[in-house]
Amino acid sequence: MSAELHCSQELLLQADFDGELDAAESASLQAHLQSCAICGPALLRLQRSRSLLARAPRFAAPARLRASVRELARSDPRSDIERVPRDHGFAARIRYLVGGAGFGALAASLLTFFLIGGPASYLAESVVDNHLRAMRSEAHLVDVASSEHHTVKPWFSGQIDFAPPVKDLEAFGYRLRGGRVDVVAGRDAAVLVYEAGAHKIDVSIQPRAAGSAPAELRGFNVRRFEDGEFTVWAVSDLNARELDAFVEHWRSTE
Amino acid sequence: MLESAPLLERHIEEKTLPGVTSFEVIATTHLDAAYSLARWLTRDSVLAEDVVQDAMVRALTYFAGFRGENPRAWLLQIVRNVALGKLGARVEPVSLDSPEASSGESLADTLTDGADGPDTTLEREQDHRQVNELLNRLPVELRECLVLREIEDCSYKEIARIIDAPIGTVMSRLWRARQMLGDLVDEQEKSA
Repeated sequence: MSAELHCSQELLLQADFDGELDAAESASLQAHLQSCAICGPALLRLQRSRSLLARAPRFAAPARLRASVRELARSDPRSDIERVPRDHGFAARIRYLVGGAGFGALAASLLTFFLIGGPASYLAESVVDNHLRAMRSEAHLVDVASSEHHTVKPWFSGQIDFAPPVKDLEAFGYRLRGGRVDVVAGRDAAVLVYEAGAHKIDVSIQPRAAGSAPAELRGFNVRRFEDGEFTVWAVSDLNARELDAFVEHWRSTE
Repeated sequence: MLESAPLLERHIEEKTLPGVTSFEVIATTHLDAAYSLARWLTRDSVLAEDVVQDAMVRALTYFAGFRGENPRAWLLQIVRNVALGKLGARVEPVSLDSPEASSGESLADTLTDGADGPDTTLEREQDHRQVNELLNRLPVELRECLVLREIEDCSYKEIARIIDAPIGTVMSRLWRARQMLGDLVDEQEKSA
């Protein structure tokens, strides 16, 4: 029947039917549809084929296939690599963030990123993302604003299911600004915000987990270390030496 | 009409899975889709299982080079290639620009399985088996496009990636698949 009649718009008609056109293209196709003697019946035919296929059987993988695929994935060491989808604007973002720091710094941060490339770097990414988000807000995101660690520590107990160490580092020039709860790799993280002059340091704390980290990511210095039962991340725009000093003070303070 | 393809491509973004994705997560999340595609391509439940097994082993080999974008399309592409390999199917380009080729050829010529006669009556009992049989009469290069679009709900861009063909080819094959399916239904209704 309609197979013998063709309209130059038929593939666009179909694309509209499949939801592949944007609003403007769709509108102009609709206008065409009003006046075309071929496309009207053709659309009905598309709709008929779709309702027919809606009754097609759906095949689910048999349980034994599922079990054997899971077994394969778990037993093969090649499946251990974890992937982070990289967005295409990544290089551009790095260039923007690194800014005047020059090509060497850019290359170094790229190299760090690509060399690490595993779950640890994903965690670092996540921590740095949270730091960036916090920096964008004027008050540097804190859910509880207090310079008093006796206030901040109990606040966390109502928010998360572990009690992070909250340290008073005022004597070393790091003023506690407050705390917030971030999500890092799908798990809650207690974040303490310290001020060192004009710089902010985010200290992100989670129950201990294995891993390693790049020392620098997207122009930020990153330190990862264990503290008792916790894994602690410190992220800041402080320079490497200053951030190392902060970590030293943190570790030596109860 | 094919010049619309680049226009379309602009608007279709690949789906990206946020966060960490391990092979096990990819494999188990998209296992049903993988099996379903294998089943539709091979039309055989045992062969489909073999295809998925082999495809998963091959996917593991490629996993180190996988960039993490659209894992479902990535996996389905591998499943599709393994399935066609097992079928020994020749993957030849289908003529895009000659409508006569599709409308002119007898439907009997396009039946890939002579064992199934066109005597099923869709109106009386439109059950799974009958739709299945109808769909299975489409040549594999048309059937795969239709299955990916209507059953796996893939975008044109995803289908293009999975079958390794330009979007224009996807559009044209989808069109032909739907016309042919319509013709098959018409034929059944006439003979009923």
